[in-house]
Amino acid sequence: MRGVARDVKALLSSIINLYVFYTLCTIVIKVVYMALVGSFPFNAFPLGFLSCVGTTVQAICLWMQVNPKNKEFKELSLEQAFVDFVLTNLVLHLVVMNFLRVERERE
Amino acid sequence: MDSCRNGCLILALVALLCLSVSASPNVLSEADKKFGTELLIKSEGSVSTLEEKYQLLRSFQVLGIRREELITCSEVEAVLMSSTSVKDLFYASKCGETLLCSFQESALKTTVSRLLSSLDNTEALLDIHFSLGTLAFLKVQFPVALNDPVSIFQKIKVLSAEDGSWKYNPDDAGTSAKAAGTALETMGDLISLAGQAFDDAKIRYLKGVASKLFEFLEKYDDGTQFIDERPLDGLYGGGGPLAATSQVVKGVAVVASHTSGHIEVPAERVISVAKFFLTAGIHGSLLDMFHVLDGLGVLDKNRFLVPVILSVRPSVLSLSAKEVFKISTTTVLGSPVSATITLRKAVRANEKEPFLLNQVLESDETKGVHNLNDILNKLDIGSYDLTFKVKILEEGRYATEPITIRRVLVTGVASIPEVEVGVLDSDTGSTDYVKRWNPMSKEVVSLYATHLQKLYFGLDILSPRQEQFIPQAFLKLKHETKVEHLFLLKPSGKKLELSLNLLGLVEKLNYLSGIYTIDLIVGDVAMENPVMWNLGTVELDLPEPPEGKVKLTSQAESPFKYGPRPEITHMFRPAEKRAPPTLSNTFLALTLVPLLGFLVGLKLLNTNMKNFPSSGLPVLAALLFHLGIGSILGLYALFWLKLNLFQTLKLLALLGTVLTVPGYYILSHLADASAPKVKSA
Repeated sequence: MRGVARDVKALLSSIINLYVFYTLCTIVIKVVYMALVGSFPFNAFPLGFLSCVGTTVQAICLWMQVNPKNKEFKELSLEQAFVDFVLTNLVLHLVVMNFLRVERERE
Repeated sequence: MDSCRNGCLILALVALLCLSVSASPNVLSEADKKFGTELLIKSEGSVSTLEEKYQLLRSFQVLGIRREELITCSEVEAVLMSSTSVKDLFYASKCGETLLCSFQESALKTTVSRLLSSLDNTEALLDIHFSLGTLAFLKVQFPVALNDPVSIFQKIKVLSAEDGSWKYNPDDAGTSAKAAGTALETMGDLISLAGQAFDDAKIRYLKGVASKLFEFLEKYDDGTQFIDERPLDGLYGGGGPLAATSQVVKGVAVVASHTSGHIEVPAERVISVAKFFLTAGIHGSLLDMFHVLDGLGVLDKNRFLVPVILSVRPSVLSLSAKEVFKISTTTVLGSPVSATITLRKAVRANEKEPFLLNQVLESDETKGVHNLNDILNKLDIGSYDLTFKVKILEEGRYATEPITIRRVLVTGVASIPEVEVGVLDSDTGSTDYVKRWNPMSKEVVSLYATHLQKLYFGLDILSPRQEQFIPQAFLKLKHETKVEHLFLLKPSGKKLELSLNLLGLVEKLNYLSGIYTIDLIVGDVAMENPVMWNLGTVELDLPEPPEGKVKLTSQAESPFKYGPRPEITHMFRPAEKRAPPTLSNTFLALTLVPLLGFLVGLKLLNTNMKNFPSSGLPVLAALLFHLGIGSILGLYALFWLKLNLFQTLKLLALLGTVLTVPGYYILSHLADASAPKVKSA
């Protein structure tokens, strides 16, 4: 039990890991909600779902780029990776907001 | 070979069709002339100008009537002496010409000199036309000499165009055929005034212009031809195609009357122009009537070519009234012209085989009337196409269509000896009951039938020649409640028959049982005695309507046919189920829980906030950077709630630029700060 706790603590030791964990939790909750209520309005579920997934993916990318053990991304600096993360997040959320707006207007 | 023959047949058929489609108007009959005279007399009160008075006078002249109430010779003389307008002088002289007035030279000397001087000073075609026309009329009374005829000729000629049309003024933009007609008439007047100035070359030139004018003719679908009005003509009086065609014909006629020898004009076109005027007929405004009558008057008597029209009267012949056909060849106004006519063939409409071929008609030469009495005892009722071949005796002066087709309708009394009425069994077809209804006795039948039987009606119809004849025949069944049904009798073999299978008709009759009266209606355009007979009654025993279908009475029937229909209400898609608000709110809260977890985790990890710069520009940049990101997220929220994409994109672009500057600064600052650390590691 304590071993598991220690592992979890190690896993969550960096911010990025924590962030990834946070988004994953949000995904789980959303899926459960949709399963309960049904998929009207239809587009709301994929939007919410994919938004979370998107940020998760971006976070993972950032983690990959930042990890010193990772040999691929050695040339890329920390800051640049961070900027990529921020920009891609912004674009993703722009698109998500657009479709949310359409959904809202359709009501 | 076969396809060649078929092709020829098709061509022949098409040609025949074209011929029969062409107009075959009748010449002006006495009735037409009388009608025209009445119309003209009615409009006498409303004419005021000289031009209108001349138009009325000329119209009366063509119809053969002299009206002196309109204007007198002394009034004409007064105008001729005092008027300064060449147009008024012209029309006054035309009135004088029609009324056959005579004037003295002494009274009109000043007029003549005025006209001569105006001729020297003008370049306009219409002015020259009016002046020369007046002078030509005066020359008939006393000698008139022109100063310089050749220069006048040149003035007219200079207005001509390459293609044979003319201008009215030297500075006109366009040309027209009507102006050419006016020019011809003017030059004809010039010849009558100063014939010696015209050598052979000029005469040949004039005849060439006249012949060429016929190329300007346009065609209507019915085969008539006319000269169309050009926009230029509208500026100089207008009058439409009637005026333009009439002017051209007049011009050619005036030139022909003042020159000797022959003018080449295509006969077929002159005939088409005659048909154009005849189709226009005598009705409409005074102006239109004048142009038609003026044109017809010229075509009736002229020195270039007189068209001859074949008339077949009556076009609807009644056998019972013992009418006879009168076929005549006359000019457009009805003057007889000698010719021999052969009836090439007579064909019943819609049949191929002619029943009469090559019959030369007997003619009464003096009256120009030909008889077709031989065929009368062969004619039966119906429509016929008669093809005539006409050969005129004096071919130089007259022209006609060599082959013409005329359609005539022969009517008569048809007879129906009896009507067969029967009730048959549906399945076997055997007769359960049959009765012969006699039109003489008119004894009504009284039938009874159920829906398992058939009603049968049959009749023979005979023409006056005791031949089979198929008119239109209907049967009407009328219920007591005044509901009616009509059925068409169809020809089968030699009879007209109708077989009503009641099983199939039950629904059409709306399941109405009861007594129906039977009426037979027979008629045709060629039948002079259409009939509607009450044959009797039939009692129909029909089954009850099936469940759910309402048995309609006659009152109910009419609203369904002509009244308003039941209103249609739209059924909208029912709204979908939404989750109850409590549940969704709970989940909203639940979604935010991981976020809280994230923040708590951050705290627990003692997040490294040390790199946050503490002073100077970096602080500002860092603050702005974070604020920028926060504002973009806020913009997104607004976007979701309120804005549309374009507004958002504009604001996003703005905020993005605001963000990049501090972002770049702070990140490069951080990079520089940590670079030594990385390098050392």
